[in-house]
Amino acid sequence: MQQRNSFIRTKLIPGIIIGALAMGAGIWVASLLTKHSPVADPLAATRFPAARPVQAFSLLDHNGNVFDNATLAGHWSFLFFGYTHCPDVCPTTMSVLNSVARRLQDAGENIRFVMVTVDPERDTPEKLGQFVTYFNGKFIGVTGSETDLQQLTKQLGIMFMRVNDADNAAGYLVDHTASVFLFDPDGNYHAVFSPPLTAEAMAGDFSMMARDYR
Amino acid sequence: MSHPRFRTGLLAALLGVLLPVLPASAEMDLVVSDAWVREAPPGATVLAGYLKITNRGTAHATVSGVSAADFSSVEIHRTVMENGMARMLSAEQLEIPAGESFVLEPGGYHLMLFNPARPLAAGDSVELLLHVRDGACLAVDAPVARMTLDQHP
Repeated sequence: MQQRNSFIRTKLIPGIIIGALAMGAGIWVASLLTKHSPVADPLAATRFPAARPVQAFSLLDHNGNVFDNATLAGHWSFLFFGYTHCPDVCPTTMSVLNSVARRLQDAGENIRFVMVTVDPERDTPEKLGQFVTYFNGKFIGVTGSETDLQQLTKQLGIMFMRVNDADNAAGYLVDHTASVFLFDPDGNYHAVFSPPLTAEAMAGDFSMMARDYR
Repeated sequence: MSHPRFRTGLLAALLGVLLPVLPASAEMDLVVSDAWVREAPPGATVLAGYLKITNRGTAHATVSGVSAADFSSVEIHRTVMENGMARMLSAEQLEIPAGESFVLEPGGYHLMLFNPARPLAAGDSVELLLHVRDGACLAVDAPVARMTLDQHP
């Protein structure tokens, strides 16, 4: 009895304590590892654990062709939402997208670059076409009625609002979401690039996502 | 040599030379560099202009407006990013403290140049007039250039 008590005191209890501590430490280290390395995404872009399906929408490109869910399928698409009366942010984003296109042209991917107007009243298909092809002959301009545009923008969380600036000689400006949205060849919403946008980061992120997608 | 009358005469002579220079307006102290107008797609009705203004003087300077013969009007604007939204705010004037510079560049402050009177392409140049608060006017020659990425001319 005396011997057994001493065994419990000197071996079993410390053993249990050490075991419990080791287990606790193991769980703690494992939680650290799962929290920081395997889950953290090395991308500047925000991609979703599972690409999100896109609800039905239907718009027109600058050549008068339908641009809808079916158009997104079969290749990667970068979508930007802007307008042609925007002299600063939109041309810069278009230049960035052109640089992304040039960086990725040898990647063997079929990629489309699209600017969807947030100013359908002034951006006629002709004006949109002139604007987007100035930056890259393959770029596509897309427009539609405000209601049709909302079908796409609402589900992506894109906001645009007309700002009536009485002093402004252009009549009005449009505040708009400046992010670039990436759709995968399944036609699903795959990732979003938030400003500040750089061609280097976008092209690098895209290559990684395209590789993971295969 | 140190005859009082002579000294007074010298002082007067010196003042006569210096006075027209001394009340140098802000115009003399403001130096504009890196001015350029971004080439826009054909048919564009609004262009953007950028420049850097350095105040080399000892007094605060205010640029109260900009005009250009090649455009129907010019406004000063500022792009701000708020929660991922690009917003454009009007700026009435530009304040340049003594010894400091004010930069207008893509993604920040810029000139909005409305309705070009002639087609403008890279290689052309536009005269911008900066109106300084003290009434002075600074003429700046801004080349039209295509924006190349991550840098500008």
